[in-house]
Amino acid sequence: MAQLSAEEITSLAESLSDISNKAAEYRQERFNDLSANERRELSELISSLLETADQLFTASAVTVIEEAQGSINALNEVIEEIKSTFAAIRKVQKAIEVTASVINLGSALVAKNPQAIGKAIAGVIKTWRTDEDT
Amino acid sequence: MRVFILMLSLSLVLTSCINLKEVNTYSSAALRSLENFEALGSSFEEVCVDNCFLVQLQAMQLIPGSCDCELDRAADSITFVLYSVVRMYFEGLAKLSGPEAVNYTLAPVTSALSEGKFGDLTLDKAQVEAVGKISTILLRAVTDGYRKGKIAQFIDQANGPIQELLRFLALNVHRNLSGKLGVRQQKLREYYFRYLGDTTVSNFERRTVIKEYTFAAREISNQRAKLAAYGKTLDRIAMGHKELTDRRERLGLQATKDLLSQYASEIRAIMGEFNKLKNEN
Repeated sequence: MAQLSAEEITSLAESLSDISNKAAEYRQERFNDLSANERRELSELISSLLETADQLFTASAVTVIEEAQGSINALNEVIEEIKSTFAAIRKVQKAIEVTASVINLGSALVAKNPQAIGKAIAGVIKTWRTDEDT
Repeated sequence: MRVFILMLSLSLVLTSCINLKEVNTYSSAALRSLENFEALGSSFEEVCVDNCFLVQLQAMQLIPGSCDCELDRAADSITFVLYSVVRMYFEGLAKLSGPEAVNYTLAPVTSALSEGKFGDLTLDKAQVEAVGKISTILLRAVTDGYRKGKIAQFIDQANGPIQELLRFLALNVHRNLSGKLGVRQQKLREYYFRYLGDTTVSNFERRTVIKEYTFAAREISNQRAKLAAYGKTLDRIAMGHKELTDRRERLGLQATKDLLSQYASEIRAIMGEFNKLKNEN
């Protein structure tokens, strides 16, 4: 027998819940026409329908995972790609900082200032390493 | 010629900004309304435990730890997984389309330029500022164009899975959990009905029973209304995403922008409805 889908199980549960509701309404309308035995039997039927409907709603919610697994995996891949794109865009800021430290070095070299050159080289290395860390 | 290039870059930046802004408005509204999941106030396990107590009450016995709600706990975990994945996607989309992604500061470069002497060349303050402004415009043009292309690609890739996952999340919240609450309301009615049919019960006790049932039924109706509002939100989010996918190559068109704004305001309106129900509880 083919297995029911989560949606089909839910529809079945909803139908059972509707039937039990209709049975309860019927009992209410015909209360005085029914014998004590009939009332008891009807109550037992309603309770049984409700119990099955309750279990089916849960069963459907659990079955969902089997059907959703493929989509969960596919969406997780997109999420990872979004994260790496975001990280790549943010790296532009680091590139700006590296550029600035290189400009400082260029300026120091043009000025032929040994002290400034040493400081600027250290600045480039430091910025570059920070870039690698991120 | 230079002016022309500058104008072209500027118009490119402005167009891209508007497109991304609409995607950001939609995805941020979707994200905020999705997060109402954490304020739903009911769960499969909770309904199971309540039903179990009702059975014990009927049998006039209380057996701690006798409620078997293992499957309902699993149903809650599965529903949470669906919510988390969908939420993470919209969070990523909102972040990538938002200003935070390209909030660059060119201050380090302009500062290095203003302080530096390059042989015979020394830049004055106005020139440094001009370089800074032009660089910012070009940088935004390049990164926004890149983001726009990537976002269109992600939206297309994600549409199939997101439609399915939103449908499953709605199934679990709006139909399965709400269905269980509906069944619980009927079970309560059965429980109280027995007292009303009992001839040995006094009128005072009948009134108490009716009051208790009415209170419990009202509470369940409120819970179900919240779940229905949440289900409606999921439906709007799914419709918005489908439109976004269909029009991903025409994100700049006024009609697309209007439509996305409309979805965002519809989502916000349902969120308001949800918050009202939340406050009534």
